[in-house]
Amino acid sequence: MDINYQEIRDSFVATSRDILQRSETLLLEMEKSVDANLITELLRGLHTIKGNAGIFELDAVIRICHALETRIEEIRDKGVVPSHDFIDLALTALDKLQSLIGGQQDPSAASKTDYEAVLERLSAPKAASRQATPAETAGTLNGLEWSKKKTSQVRLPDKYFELAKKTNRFLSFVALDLFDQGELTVRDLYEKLQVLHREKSLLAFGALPKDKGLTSDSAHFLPYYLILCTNTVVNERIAELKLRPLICHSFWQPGHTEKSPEAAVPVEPGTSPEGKLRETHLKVSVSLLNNLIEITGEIVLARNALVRKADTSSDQALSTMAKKLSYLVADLQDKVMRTRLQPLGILFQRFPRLVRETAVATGKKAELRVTGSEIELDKAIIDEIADPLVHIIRNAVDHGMESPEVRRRLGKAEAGTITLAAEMREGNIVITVADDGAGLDYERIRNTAVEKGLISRDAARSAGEQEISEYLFLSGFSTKAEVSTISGRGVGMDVVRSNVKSLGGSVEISGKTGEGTLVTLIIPQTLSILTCLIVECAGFRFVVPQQNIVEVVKIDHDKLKTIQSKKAYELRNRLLPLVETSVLIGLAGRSEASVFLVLKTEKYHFGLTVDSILDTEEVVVKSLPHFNDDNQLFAGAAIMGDAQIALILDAAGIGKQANLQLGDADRSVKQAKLLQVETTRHLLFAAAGKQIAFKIFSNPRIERISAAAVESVVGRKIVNFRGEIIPLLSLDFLIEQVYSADAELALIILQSDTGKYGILADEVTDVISDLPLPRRDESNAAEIEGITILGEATVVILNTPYLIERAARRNLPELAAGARL
Amino acid sequence: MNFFRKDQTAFISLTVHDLQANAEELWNELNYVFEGFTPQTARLRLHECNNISLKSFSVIATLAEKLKSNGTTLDLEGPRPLLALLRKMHLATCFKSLSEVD
Repeated sequence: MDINYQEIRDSFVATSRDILQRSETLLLEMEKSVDANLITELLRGLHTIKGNAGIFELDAVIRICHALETRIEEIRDKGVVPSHDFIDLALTALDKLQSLIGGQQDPSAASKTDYEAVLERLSAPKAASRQATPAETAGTLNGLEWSKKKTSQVRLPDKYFELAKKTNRFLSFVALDLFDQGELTVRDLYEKLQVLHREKSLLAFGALPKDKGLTSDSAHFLPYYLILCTNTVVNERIAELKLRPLICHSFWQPGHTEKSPEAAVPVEPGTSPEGKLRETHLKVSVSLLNNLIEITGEIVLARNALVRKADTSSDQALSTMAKKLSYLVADLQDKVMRTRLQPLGILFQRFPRLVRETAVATGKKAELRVTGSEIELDKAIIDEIADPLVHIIRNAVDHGMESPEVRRRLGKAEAGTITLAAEMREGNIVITVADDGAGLDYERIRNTAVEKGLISRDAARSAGEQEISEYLFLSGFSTKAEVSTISGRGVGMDVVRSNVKSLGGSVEISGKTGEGTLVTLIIPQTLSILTCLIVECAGFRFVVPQQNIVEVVKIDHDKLKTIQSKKAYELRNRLLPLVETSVLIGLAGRSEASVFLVLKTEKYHFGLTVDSILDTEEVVVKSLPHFNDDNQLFAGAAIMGDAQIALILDAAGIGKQANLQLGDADRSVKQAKLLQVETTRHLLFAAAGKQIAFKIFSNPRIERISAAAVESVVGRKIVNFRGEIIPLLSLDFLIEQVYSADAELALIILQSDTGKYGILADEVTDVISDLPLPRRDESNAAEIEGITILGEATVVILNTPYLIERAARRNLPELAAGARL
Repeated sequence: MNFFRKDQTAFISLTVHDLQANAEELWNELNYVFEGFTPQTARLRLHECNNISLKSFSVIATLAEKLKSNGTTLDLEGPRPLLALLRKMHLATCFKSLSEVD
């Protein structure tokens, strides 16, 4: 059989990379506390690399691993928390190993790698430290204690752990001294092993080589080991069998965490009686998975075509087969897509070191908290978001965190906290990086953007906080005065945005001065196959991802509104901004839209008009070249079941292109609350013989008062109503309101943002839902919104917002607030 | 216990009676065979023993270990049932080889 060394080498590089990544995390955890399990896992990892490196004669890797193992063993034996310097050194050694192993694929890189310095530093304190190793100091540990210590580091294969977890049993290592088993014979022991084997408890057994670290004070000491998976605690089972254990180590117990998750076996191959145990995981190359996904994509297309054909066919058998195939393909697609999913933890585990090193370099203290590591994401996406997250996290420490002194002065903990969290939301993965640092200094950002000529002074002046935070994504933006290795070049956040955008995602930043910053990345979970709605517009088919669709609404033309030259639709008492697909895309043959899709993204919530809905379909996404990043209406193209191509509409891109400003949805909802009542309900009242109305924008209160309650203060009319001063809106521009003192009047009390205001009326006549559209002439006073006819009466419609605003300007401050007497 | 030395080989034979002796006594007798003599090979035959105590076996295995450190290999010869047990229990690794004798 030919051995493919390239494959073995690739596997070695991939395995070593994983181990080194994990080792990095373990080292950082070791810095916080001494945990024997951490050290054991770390040593095993290094030992595995060392062993594998021997195959490729990577002497440098072997020597570094060996030296590092020695140093870590010293720390374990001393039982102390490793020093900051040692962690630094160990991390450097891991980097060097990474470089050497990576360079192993490229011999020139390996030759350039200078590892001697690291080796020298690792080896330097060896002699002094080794003197302190108790196990090597005569008399400090007896043979049994030393044996216990050594056997606690035995590595059991993964499959044993899997079996124990699956069957919820105790996984243990037992060492016996055969000399110390009383009068038992070889056959007696064999029969006991048979009992264990029959109850499927015996996983492995055999003579234990003495060079594995077992020693005893007994002259005829013959160590023998058993690896057991028992229903009860191993000591009990061993006692039942009347065996005298020398050492028992529990590696996994039901309801507890495992002691040793990884594995190299202390036993000879083929000694396991549990023949049915098999390896459960394989390493597969990403390119092979990509091929598999591409082929699955083609199968999905073929399935779609077949289903389409079967739908129009009268052949019942064909329809049945097509349906069955459809289910199977859907299942296949689901499974294949999962093969590329990786937990975000793989990416997140890099960041504790990044935070540590950035904090050290900038003289700050920071701690990283991570949640959502278990969420799975397409590997391609994980690769793409790695760099953006590095930028964001580094910024959080460098820009976001205050120095320990400043934090202390501000009453904050010396060490800042950066929280990296991931969660699933509406078909997207939302990753947030929040810090409790200084937050965003909007004034400084505004000034910097202007100084660097990135934005005009006028634009900056009128910009709100949300818009100012967008300046951070401008190319060349940096508030750092000096360029360092960490930041200051102004190439960070714009790269972040472009990377995330290339995935069809988005990134936002927000924060309050002094309270920290929040960066939110929204990323689609998968890029390859989407469930979509097929729509038609002006004779063209388009595809809309179903994850963005909230509902489909048939257009009632009476509910179409135009607000500030923009279309909107009154949907369940809310105004929804409407985007006309044909207008937006500039389709030549425009047609009357009959339905609209309510689309929702993290930023936008709007309606998209289309001529008709055709079907739902799972489509394979084919990427489009980015002709123009500013005009990105399409997320890609899809090959349909009939082999035609349709463009996939990008809801977020459309929202942006249609100039639905940030937070437009929220604002439009607030506006809708105001407008939907304005346009639908008017309060009609009579005063001085005239019919007057105004749009109701908050539920007015109507009270009966005596005209005597009306007073005049500093030229303004007010009403003293139940101890509260209500300024009256003057209707002098329209009528003259003069009442006798004993007259009874209606007081209409309006609640606005600036306080309560009143309108005096002879009587309130009605609330009208559909007042005919008012006619407005340029000659009308600003106080009047228009004039309309209701029945035979002419109704003057007041512009109450204007009246209130004017009254607020003129009011005494204490009156405007509705002061109590 | 019987033994003789020939060329670079030591031949030892043990009976059930020998194996029932005190472990320390057995150990001393076995070591006596190799006093002043370091052969390349030692052949230890167990006569009519289908089963032995773990104590005795430990002594023999320890001897094999000791000889190995001096460059002498130990071949174990014995009845088929006993050797079968040793093989099944993965104890054959203590010796250079196992040979069946009647």
